[in-house]
Amino acid sequence: MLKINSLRKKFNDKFILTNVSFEIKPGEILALVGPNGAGKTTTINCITGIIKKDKGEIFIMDQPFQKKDKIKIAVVPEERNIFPKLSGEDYRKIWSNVYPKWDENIFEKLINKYNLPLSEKFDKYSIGMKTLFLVILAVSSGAEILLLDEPTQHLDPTVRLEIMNLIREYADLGKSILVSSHEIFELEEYADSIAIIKNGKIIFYDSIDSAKEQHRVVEDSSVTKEGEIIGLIGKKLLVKTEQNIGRFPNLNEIVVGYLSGKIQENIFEN
Amino acid sequence: MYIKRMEIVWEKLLKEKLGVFFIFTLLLLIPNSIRLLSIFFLANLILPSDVKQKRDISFYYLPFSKGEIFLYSLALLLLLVTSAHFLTFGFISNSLYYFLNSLLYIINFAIIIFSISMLAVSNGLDNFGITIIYLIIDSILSHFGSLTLDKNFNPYKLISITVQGNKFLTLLFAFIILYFAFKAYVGGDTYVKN
Repeated sequence: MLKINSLRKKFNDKFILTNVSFEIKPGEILALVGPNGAGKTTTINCITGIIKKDKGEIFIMDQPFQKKDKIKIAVVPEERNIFPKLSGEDYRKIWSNVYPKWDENIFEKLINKYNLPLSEKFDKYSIGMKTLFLVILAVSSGAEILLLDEPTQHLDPTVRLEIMNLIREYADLGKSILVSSHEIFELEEYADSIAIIKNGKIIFYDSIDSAKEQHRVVEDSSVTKEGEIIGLIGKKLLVKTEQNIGRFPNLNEIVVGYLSGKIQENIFEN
Repeated sequence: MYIKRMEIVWEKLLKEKLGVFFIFTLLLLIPNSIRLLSIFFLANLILPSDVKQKRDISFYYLPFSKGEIFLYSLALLLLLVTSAHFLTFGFISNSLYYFLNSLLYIINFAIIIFSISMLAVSNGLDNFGITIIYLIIDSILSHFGSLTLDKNFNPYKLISITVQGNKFLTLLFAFIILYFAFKAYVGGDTYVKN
């Protein structure tokens, strides 16, 4: 449903995105993970059109992205304070008017469940309430694609779990969801695939199940004859191999292995 | 559909800046220089200040385009300015010529200040500073010469924002600047330049 091909973006001669490509199918949750400044938020901003991409292609439902497609995308941005002086009720009015598939029942149900005060101004909400409210707006929008920047940040543990389930249920309706997050252990619970971004480039992209199957954690490189050493996880190594050695990694170890990266990067490689 | 979307944008702008808008809209009812001062502030505050402080980005997380926000903001500015003119006109003069002439004057003034201000912030400059500098330069350039076709003729006076020697030429000039302001804002990554 959402396909990104070779996205590139440069600000003031500095490359922020050099090669970002991934695809999110209907019903899929893609986790976009990487260190701060890797290009996660810029990727989201390029998809929404907030930032103009320099190069690359964005397809929505197999068609090149056009301005009118924005009604198919709902965003929980990194900046939570989007309209600080407006009340929750004002937000409801805005979202319900700009999204043609807005679902008032879901909105009311969730607002009542979490007891969010619609009459209060948004800047009076706590940071956790803001995150929760923006996620509620996103899942009530009926949008085909959700772009969620740290959707569980600052939430209570119980609410986190509920929000993860809510996002999963929304994806199960056939929607595509991109989640940018640092909460790797959480992502393992509800995401389907992962894209690891480093220095503006996707260095690994696969389904989480496949990623776990194709990698092993070993004590040292001498145990593997075939395969590729990916990186260090503490004193252990993450290797990509089909050999049955070591143990299967968890998602966090895959991410750490790729980000630590022991392999000299070939700068001439496309 | 666009009317509904425009209403949403207007409501948001008015609610977020209620106090400031209220004061300057009241001041708009006082004709001449006070009205022009109010237009100056409203044109700078309605969208350019948001762009400068990167607050306009919020709109773009929603299905709004930069072009829409630019035009809806300008439309609100012109609505406030012309409404004030209509409300107060009966108290000032009954001449239709004077009414239209002064209406065109304030419309030109509002469009030019808004456009210069948007051009400034779209290029990472201070909107208030640049519009004040523009008005100072305009005053200097339009101070010399005359509008009569003789050796002292100063063609700049025809399109000067303060003199507006020819209202229609000034309107044309205003639309040209507006076009460049629109292009600069819509085409640029305004908020990431600073």
